[in-house]
Amino acid sequence: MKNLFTAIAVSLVFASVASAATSSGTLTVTGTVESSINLTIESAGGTTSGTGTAAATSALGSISKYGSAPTGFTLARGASDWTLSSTIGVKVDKANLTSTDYTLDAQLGSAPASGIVWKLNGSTLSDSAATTLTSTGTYASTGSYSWDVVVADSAAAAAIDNTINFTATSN
Amino acid sequence: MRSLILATLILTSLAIAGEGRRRTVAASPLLPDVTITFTDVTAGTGSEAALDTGTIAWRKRGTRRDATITTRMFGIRIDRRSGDTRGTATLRASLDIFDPRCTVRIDGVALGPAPRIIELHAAVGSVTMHRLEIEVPNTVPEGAFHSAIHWEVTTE
Repeated sequence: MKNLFTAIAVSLVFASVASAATSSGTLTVTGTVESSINLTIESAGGTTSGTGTAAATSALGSISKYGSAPTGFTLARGASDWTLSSTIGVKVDKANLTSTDYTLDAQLGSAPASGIVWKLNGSTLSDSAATTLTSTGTYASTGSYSWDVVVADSAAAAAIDNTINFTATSN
Repeated sequence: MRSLILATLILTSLAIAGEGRRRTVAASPLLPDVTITFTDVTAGTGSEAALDTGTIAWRKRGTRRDATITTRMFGIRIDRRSGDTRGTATLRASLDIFDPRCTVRIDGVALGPAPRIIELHAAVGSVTMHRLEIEVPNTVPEGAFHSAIHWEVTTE
């Protein structure tokens, strides 16, 4: 009989210990998804660095009409000038955007040295106005644009450093 | 002895009946024996709070090329009304409101309509930090999103 009492008492203890309490709460999560596009320079003539990013550099080294063409360039000699030719690969990716294509413009960062002409896709670039390279660019695909640097024979022997600023705008 | 057994059985019945009433009170949404409190959130207090992740925009330099993952840390405090800090609690989460454009994870656990265990032995009486992840694929259109995470805590 004592065992029965003990068993009942033990079950009472267990019944008390096993009780669990429950509570709930709600965490509301909000935010705004914003559309975006991203431009990268994928390739260029010369000794490049920073390809795959939005700020690439191409070093041509010392160039001359009767010297060798820089890496990735061809050299064409004319009667009164000479031209270094290569290509620049530009890629534009999009996210959370319904646009199907984009417009790509290019503009020089500073006025070119006297006797130097910068061309992309056959169009002469300037530092005062943007030149449209394409108005139907395909996202996530690297577009290749011909790149020419025309040097007049009369141009002074000096650095021709410049910057080409690309701007992509979703259509 | 018969009287003792009878008395014991009556006491047992009373104890069980009393336990039943106590459980009823514990299940009441008005006065639960255990409380859940969110901390490090952007709005709200107590068990009803909001976390605004702000603007989410994809950046190519991120870890994923096909999605944007935004993370936020927040805290959850579990308390007993009695002030007793002994023992642990099980923390579960599910989505009450689901935005199909994004995936919501807590501590790496993807949430859906069914409750998932986030922490099996959460400490009672102290704040534990958790990581909220919002994954938005690049293919979904821009706009505001809204999800509601339902949390349930059960003491052991």
